[in-house]
Amino acid sequence: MRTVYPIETLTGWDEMFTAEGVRERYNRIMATLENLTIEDLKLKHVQASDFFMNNGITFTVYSDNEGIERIFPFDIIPRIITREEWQHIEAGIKQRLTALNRFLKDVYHDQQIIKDGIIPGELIESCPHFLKEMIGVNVPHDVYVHISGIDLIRGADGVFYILEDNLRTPSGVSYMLENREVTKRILPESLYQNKVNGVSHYPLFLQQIMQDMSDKEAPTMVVLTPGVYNSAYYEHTFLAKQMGVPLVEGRDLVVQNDMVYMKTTGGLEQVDVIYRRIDDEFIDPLVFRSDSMLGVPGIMQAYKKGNVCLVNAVGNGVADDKAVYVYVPDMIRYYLNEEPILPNVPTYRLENEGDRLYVFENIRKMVVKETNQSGGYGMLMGPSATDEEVEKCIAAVKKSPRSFIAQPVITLSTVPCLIDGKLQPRHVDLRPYALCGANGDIKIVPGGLTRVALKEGSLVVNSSQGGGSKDTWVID
Amino acid sequence: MRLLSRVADNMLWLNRYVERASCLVRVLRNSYILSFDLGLSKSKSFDAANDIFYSGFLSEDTEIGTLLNTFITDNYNPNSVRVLLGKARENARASQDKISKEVWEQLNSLYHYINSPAVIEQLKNGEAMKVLDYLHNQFFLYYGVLDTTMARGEAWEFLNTGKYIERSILTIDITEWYLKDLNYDLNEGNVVYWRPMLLALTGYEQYLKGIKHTPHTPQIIDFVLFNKYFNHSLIYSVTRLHRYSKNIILQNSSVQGQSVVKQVERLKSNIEFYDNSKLCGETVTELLNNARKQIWNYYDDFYKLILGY
Repeated sequence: MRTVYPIETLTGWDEMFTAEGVRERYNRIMATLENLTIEDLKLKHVQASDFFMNNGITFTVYSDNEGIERIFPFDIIPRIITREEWQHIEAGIKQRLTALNRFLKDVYHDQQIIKDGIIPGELIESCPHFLKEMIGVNVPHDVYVHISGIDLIRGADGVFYILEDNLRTPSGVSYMLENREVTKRILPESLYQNKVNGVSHYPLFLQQIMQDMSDKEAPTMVVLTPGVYNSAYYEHTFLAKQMGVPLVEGRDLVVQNDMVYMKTTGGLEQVDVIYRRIDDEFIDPLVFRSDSMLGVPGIMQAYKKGNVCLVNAVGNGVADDKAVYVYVPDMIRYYLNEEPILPNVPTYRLENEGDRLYVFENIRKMVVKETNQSGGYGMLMGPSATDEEVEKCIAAVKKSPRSFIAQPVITLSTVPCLIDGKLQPRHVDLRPYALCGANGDIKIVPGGLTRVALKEGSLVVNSSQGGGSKDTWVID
Repeated sequence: MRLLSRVADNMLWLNRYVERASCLVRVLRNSYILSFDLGLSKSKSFDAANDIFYSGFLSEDTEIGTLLNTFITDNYNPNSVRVLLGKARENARASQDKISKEVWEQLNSLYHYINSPAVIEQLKNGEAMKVLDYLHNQFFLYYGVLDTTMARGEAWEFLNTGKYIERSILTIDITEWYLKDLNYDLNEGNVVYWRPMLLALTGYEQYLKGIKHTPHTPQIIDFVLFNKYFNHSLIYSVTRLHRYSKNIILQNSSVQGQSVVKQVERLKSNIEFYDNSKLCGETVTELLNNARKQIWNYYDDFYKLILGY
């Protein structure tokens, strides 16, 4: 098959090709691809899709009284990262996560960073995810962010940038693990030849950090899910199963005397550590949204008293607010006295008049994002937006400048994808998953979720916006 | 660690739905074959399936493909194979951390099969046997996978409690349907008449091997209700129900628990020690009705005691 796409289609950094040819790291996989016909590749694609379908790694689309099962698109050609690049990424994420954990402790206790003028107090005050209920609450081992998914992109200059921090309930880790399981079936020899680092020990790390959060020798741990209709439900069952802990829903838990119990066939059983996949606002109807049917009444009281540990901590949203993101490099300098290893994407805070006017003048070169949205929602892509969308966005920014930030459009790196029977470049990002344990020890399995914008030219990789994923190989 | 009450409920219903769907497939498979053998109208040969599993109206001149789709793929028939499998899968999905990966995959692949548009077409286009054979075999496979891969413990006991509750009720309902068609006259009916029922309950071969004398009807009733070695007989199903649910209840050392166990023991004794020399249409009907009532009462009390969270 033809494995090289026309060089003029390269618009930035391509992970596989340069103007001179194939990057060294891709030599082996390229040799494998050259020996396969397009029919072979299509067959592998079908094999992969069947794997996801038969394992129930699907989400349901409801239409006409019927639920239709869909899989998240998977592209069979891996994205490859070298050991040196990975070490750089790993060091950068560890540094960032350490600073973010310290920031969360600080912002919910002494607020020294505000007093020292590093971050404006009004920025924190105006963040909807800054929860007053968490002020003064001590969390076990001062760890707030146990599980994070920090999104990275590689720009045209080949540099990895931090695009955003996901510190609440980041999803997608099951796809990282299942993508590898699929690759073991469709490209087994290549995995072996390329000496690809394993990722399958992630659930063991997760179980360990949860266990470390309790003083008990054998704590009762659970994964709390919003239920079967949640789009990430598969991931919740997957993680519970991999860790050997019960998967519970809010209705399975009850709080009595500020202790959390689960309802079992043998009566109530105390729960010590909860990996919750329910957002803050739904977790306790007595404290947050009173109409929440997903949470557990009274759980916040049990949490504040230290009778149960929630993983991740409540209130982390203040640290992954897109306006606060701008200050993370300053946090690193402030708390760690180090220079950031991984740079941020340049970001304009639109409550600053100067930034705002500049962004309005150059909006066609900008991405404007709502600070409290994720999943690709609430985003304006300047170059492709209609005039009407631009006008609407400007009006919304003028109405509530604090709710928006803007970033120059960065051409994400591309990776070849098998689309319509040929290799075509598509833009990607990278989400490695980091786990923070009791003594601040951070573990990251070598890999992550590479998300792909499957539409030609699109820079939006979110699965909710038509994105897919790839296996990510870190090779020695 | 004990099972979450909700998950226990899911387990119980998972196997109730699978048991019902697998029995329905066997009934349909036999009805379909029967529709060629006999000079009955197409819909008449599906009367058993219709009366036991479907409460809708089927016209005399309904096409066979439409009939089969009503029982197999119709989303609006609450007891179609598709709906039953959908419900079984939802229960499995909600308790996925407690069932084996292989059980989940087997059920999931059945679910995707029954939801594929090709099945509807095959049932319409004269390829129904292909669909029925596939489903028939896949349900056997499901039980094989379940037996081979599931850990023995509380989850297993709930799965089996669900299975044997459903099986007991189905055996009663199916036996009663065939008796009713004979006006409860045990002197009527030959082995050809009873063959579809025995096939639906997977006991045809076993029955033939044990025939002692004619007439067949009293022997078949005896076989279906009292034969301890026939795995769809009422006594076998109730004995298993007793075994699995007793294990669950006795882990709850409450006074109510003891009384609920006694209920299922009484039910088992009533069947086990029934004087079958007195079998006639009237006594069989009474036995079936009493057994059904006792099973439902037992199920209610079991549910309240163990799952009433």
